[in-house]
Amino acid sequence: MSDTLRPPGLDVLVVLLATLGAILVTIQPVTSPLIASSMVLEVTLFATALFLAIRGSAGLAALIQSGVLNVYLSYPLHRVTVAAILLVGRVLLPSALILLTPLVAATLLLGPTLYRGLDVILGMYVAYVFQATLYGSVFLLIAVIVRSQATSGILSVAAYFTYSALQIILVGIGGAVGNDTVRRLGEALSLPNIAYYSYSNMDYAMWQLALVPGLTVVTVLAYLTYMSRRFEVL
Amino acid sequence: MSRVLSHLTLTSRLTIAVAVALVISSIVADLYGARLESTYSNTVPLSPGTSLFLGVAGLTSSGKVKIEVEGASNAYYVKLSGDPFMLVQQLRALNLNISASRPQFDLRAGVAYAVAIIQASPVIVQALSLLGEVIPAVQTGGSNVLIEVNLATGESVVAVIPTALEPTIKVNVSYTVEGYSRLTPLQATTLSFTLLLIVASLETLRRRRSPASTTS
Repeated sequence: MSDTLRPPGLDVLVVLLATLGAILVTIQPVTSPLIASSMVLEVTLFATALFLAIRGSAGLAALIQSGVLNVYLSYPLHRVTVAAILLVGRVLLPSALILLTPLVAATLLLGPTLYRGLDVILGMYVAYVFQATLYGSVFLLIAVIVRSQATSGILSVAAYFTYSALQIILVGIGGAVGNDTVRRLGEALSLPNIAYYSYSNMDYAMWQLALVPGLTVVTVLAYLTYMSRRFEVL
Repeated sequence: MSRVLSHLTLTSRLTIAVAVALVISSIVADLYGARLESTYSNTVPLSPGTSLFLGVAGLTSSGKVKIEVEGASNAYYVKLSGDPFMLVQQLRALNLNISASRPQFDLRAGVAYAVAIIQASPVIVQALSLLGEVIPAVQTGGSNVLIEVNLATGESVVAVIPTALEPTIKVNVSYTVEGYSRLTPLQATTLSFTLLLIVASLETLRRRRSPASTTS
């Protein structure tokens, strides 16, 4: 865990993200807590995904290659427990902290403008943490399957960009051919999108709200199952 | 730097990051940040049988719009909760001849303006009634009308001047942002120092309690 969050990488990243995020919401008079939190968290999510690909995925592959994971697995702990600790330490905690810091800076800076919508800000934060956890759990699954530091880093970044492009492609195709389900599927691949629709009283379906949490649960279960049953130490 | 940071708890490191961000961003905001006032004016030649369309959209902010029109006896407006510039495309779909100017964005005030000339005076007011309640503007003089409306974030106002009394119509729009505040550089610096002081106190206490403890 300390390996993932060790200084100065995380510190430099959060200082930059918090500063830029706070600047983003002050160069224009953002009076909506929903818009302010989206503006800050959207750019932070991009940086979080890259951080998870490097520190989460490639970092875990390095543990496998160096034999450190062998030592962890030799402890009198169930493999699922070790896998869950790795998931929390390499994905959940970094995602939560990286996304939280710029949001706190922006909220403190805009003060009373945003205090009236703290529930909305919290809801958007949870949506972004879920989205980052989905990315991170996919990255960990890649790492334990390929077990190579460079390959898992590259494949994680590729998976992230493929997923992001897929959202745009599905929304585009759905709009072009007039297929509402395809368009909604593209929108639903981003939970923050649907959360934004929900808070804006815009049209969305319940399955859209459940898609990313559902995908996250499936990916986490796949990762835990792989680690407990099929993962073989080098 | 790495050695110093490695002696601090994770909470302290993140608090320091917030403190640094507050100072820098408040200075940038003071120099280049949001403005609470925005104005727009345009003089448009209007021939008989044409109407003037004016859209003002609160993109990221909420505030008060004041539209003064010179050279018209009456005007109507409607509040929308979407992009008013889409209305131009919808009216084009009705085969109305429209010449629209490029929208002008005032990013620092979070507002956008656009005007369009539409050939079909009575139809345009009827078309507006399909979108919402059409409200007549207040007459303030012989050929002057005034529209004052409050906009929430994402809302916009569309004003239509169906007929002109003079060859040209002059519109003056002023927009005042409401409900926005941010820390001044002095307040942000004070808050940052307070946060740093709290971090220093907590770290000192932690070390006194457990001298061997260094990292989180």
